[in-house]
Amino acid sequence: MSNFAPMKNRCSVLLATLLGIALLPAPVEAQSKITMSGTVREAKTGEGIIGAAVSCEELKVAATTNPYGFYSLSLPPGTWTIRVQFIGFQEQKVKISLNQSAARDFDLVEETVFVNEIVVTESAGDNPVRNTEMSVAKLNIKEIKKIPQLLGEVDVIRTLTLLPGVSTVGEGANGFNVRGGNVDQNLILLDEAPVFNSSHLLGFFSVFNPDAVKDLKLFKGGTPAEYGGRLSSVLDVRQKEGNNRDFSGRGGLGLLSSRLLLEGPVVKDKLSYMVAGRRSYADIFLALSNDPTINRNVLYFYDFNAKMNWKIDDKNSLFASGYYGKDVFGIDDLFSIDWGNSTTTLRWNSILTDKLFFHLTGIYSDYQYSLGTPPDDDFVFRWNSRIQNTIGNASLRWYSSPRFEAEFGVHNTYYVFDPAEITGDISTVLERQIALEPAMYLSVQQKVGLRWNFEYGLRSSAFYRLGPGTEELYNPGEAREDTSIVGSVTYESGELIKGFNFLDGLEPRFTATYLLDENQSLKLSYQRMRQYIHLISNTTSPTPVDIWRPSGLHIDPATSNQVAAGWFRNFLWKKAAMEFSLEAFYKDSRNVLDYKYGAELLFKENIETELLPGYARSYGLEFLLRKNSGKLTGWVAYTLSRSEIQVAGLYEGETINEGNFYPTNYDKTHDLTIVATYTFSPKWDVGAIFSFQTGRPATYPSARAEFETGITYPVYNNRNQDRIPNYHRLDLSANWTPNPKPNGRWESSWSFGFYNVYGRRNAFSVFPRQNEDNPQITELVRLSVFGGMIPSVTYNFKF
Amino acid sequence: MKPIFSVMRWALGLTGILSLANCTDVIQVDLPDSEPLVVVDGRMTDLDPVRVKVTTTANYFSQTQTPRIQGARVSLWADGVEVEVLQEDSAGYYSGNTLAQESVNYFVRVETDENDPLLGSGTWESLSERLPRSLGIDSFYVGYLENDPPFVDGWYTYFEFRDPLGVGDKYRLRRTRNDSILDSPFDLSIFQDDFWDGRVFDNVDLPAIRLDGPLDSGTTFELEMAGISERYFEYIALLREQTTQVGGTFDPPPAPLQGNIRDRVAAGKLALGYFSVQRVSRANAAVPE
Repeated sequence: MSNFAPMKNRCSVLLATLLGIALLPAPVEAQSKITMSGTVREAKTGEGIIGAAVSCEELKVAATTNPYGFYSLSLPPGTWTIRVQFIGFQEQKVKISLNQSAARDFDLVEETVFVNEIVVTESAGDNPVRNTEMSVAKLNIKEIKKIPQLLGEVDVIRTLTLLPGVSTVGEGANGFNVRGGNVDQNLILLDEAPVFNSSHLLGFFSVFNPDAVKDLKLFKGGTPAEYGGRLSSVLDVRQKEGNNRDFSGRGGLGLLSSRLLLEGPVVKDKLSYMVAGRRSYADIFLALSNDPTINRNVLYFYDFNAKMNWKIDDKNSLFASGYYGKDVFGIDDLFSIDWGNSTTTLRWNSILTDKLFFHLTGIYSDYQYSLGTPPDDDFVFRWNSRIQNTIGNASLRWYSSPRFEAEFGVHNTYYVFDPAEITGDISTVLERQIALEPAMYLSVQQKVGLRWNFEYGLRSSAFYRLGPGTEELYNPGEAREDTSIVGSVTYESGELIKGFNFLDGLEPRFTATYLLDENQSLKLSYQRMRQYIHLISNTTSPTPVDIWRPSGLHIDPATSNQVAAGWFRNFLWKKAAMEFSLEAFYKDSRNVLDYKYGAELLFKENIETELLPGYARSYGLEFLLRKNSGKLTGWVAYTLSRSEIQVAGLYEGETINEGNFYPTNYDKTHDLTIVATYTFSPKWDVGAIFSFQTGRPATYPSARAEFETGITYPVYNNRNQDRIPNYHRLDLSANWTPNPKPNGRWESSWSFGFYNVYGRRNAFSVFPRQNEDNPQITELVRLSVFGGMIPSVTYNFKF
Repeated sequence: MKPIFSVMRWALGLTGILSLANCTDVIQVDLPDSEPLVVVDGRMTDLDPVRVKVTTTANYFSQTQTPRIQGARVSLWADGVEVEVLQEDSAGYYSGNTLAQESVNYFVRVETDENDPLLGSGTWESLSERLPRSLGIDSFYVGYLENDPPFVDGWYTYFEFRDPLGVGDKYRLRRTRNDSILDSPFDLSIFQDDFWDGRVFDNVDLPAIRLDGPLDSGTTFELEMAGISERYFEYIALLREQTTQVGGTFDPPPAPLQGNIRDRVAAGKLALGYFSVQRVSRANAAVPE
């Protein structure tokens, strides 16, 4: 803790120095050049490609396309060889004479499925050696469709957990953990809209329909200044814009769900749409039961994705996208619960000049759940909870030269929290909470000399808890309990309850890349992140009925600092391009929340009496070796890490484990994953995943005691000092793609999968139990989510 | 498309069968021996004299009843004055004659001497409790339920009661069926009036509370409804939470169950159990033959 302040100062000085360096040379450099700008698109669909490289062969300079496929490359007048590259697409190489600034779009043709070994050149798009990013996990959606998936359901978040630094507490757990951070420390964005619950079916599947996902990127560290609001990571998911050249569709029939996506032009090359939907049918399993207490139950999810992309003219485009998903679980005529996210994004992109890219976005995001009895029950009860966000974002990106880009932006988020409202025969409500989170940022990408690449910036955020509301006041000399309340204060509508201003919320970001040679680099990053809203959850993994609460009078914002260093290398192995990275990180986080023993979190107005602020730290090494091309593709990922928390309050009941650090629930010392796919022929490919993880921390009883006559209960000493058994699993898959019919548009494939091939009963948890037949016997019980091998078959099609 | 659906149907069935193999099984874990800690478990009510059980903790896998502390001096104190020394009527069980009176603060003290083979010399006290308020059971009866799925048709017990005005009332129910008390962790039943303060469960204001069923003909039932303190309510809530875990995602983390017993000699040393003062009312019902 004590070295925190000096680190902050050093970084601020460094940032200021670099900003000074940056702002001087760039305009001068730009004056003698002209600019070629435009969009790189998929030839077949017209979709913009994210991260494609547009380079000048003679000058060895390159630009990378932004999330909308836009690039801007400044060059001296002359005739140049321009190469446009992106992994999985055929390279384009053209001679272009430039005498004045010009617009030039490129259409890239997809490689065929069965490819020979290819060598990816130095500037082929998102080259992890040369680009300014580090600690970034990316997935190629086409690639992950080849690897084994639980029940054949392609799942982007479960696949992310196969990469270094990303894990979950177990199978069927909600959300994911990044570099020792809690689930609520991940900002999950779908077309820029925050998604508050990323899981379907209580955590077995993610809310992202893989057919509708165009690109996703997970920032574990080195996060650009444009992102903020969570401590540990940002998962940025972009939906497809819709094929603006031809009508097409794709979908699949799986054992768990079926899906369909349709896309096409309304006006060719001008206005396109994409709509997609999924619906699960787990209820079929329930209906198969002869037991009426089971077959009358309901359990399913569905989701819809939609997007429209209107290219107003060469300079302006408008995107409207949305997501709506819901899970429903019901015990017939007794109880039901449903929950789901909905998001809406409206974005205007404008190319103001060939060097200035402007965007304006309006976002609405909503998460709500509802549980209760049927409306005609004897005793009617319904519980509703909701969190709503309304967001306005604007940014201006300046492509000064291939060596300098800068972006300035503002974000403003308006939160409405409705923690709980009960209606029916009894009615009551927890107070609505309102907050405002404005932020602004400046982010710069700069190349200095031949070897240094920098990305740095400063984000400044604030947070204002606003009335109306009533806040309890506590005796500062006692533990914060209901019994230590000494009064309360009532706030009018719009009145400031508590503010955390911009100076409190300075978040410097910095990444430096030093190129050792053309194929290897060293990188260093520092980031400070700040989080103003907190998921209140003390279960094994978050549940759909957990609620978010804002910082305020009694809950401080959480702040984290992370330093990471890495070595990145590309090399050839049997003529195939390989990527290697080794990263070390250290992260500390203040004011992360833990909970008092026996905390009562549901329907608690003054929730602060149940919370304990803690100091968390995590550190580790991440290793990744990846092969992206050829018949054999895949990766080996290994993480060695530690994640701990310390809760040392001033009063009895506010300290855990005597104030010492203890492992978090998601601490996993070793995490090894091997993923491989092999393409035998255009018809057949196979995949395999092997995964090994240290068992997560657990608390085993130290003794037992009796209560009254028939209950024996466990006695615990310290939290999380034991571990459940280690986890390991092997999955296999095979994909068969029959030859398409001549002149037919319909293409199909079958995916066969075997999850947990050797049927290991991996423990989700180990819990104490009194033997049902003999209360004198107490035992420890292992719960395995899957008790055996799970086969699957999925039929996929496209037209 | 027909072959596609045939394959899917076959696979669906196979997957359904195999995935149902989701399971629990008992595992063996080496747990170190632990030092015995005192456990004081007692109560007094306005209808029942004080009774205290004194035991110790045992190793988690010991698989026998926990050791009883015999020969201890167990005393009842009212408003800071010792009013009674309880008599040991069976191993580890100590009884007295005092009933709980209004507005009196009660606590118990347990003392052992150096000859105690498990605990040695020690003194433990409970925190004070006094009679909470409760208006008791208005009505307890059996009724025949039909055509209300998913409940099976049959005889069920119902009870009616009125909550006094003012939030903060806590209750515990204990049920005895055919003279056997229902005492598993899942039978721990507590509730509070946060959502229905001052309301009446009488089938007019709010429906009567349905408890057990369907019951066989001739089943006899006794219901005890006790007004309890907030601290005891939280204790039972945590006890229930910790003894009904199923290992799933909704399970809260393990938590030490500290009641209101304190070690008077070694202030920081953990002592377990609870001494509770309760206002009870009881009623009986029987299913017709």
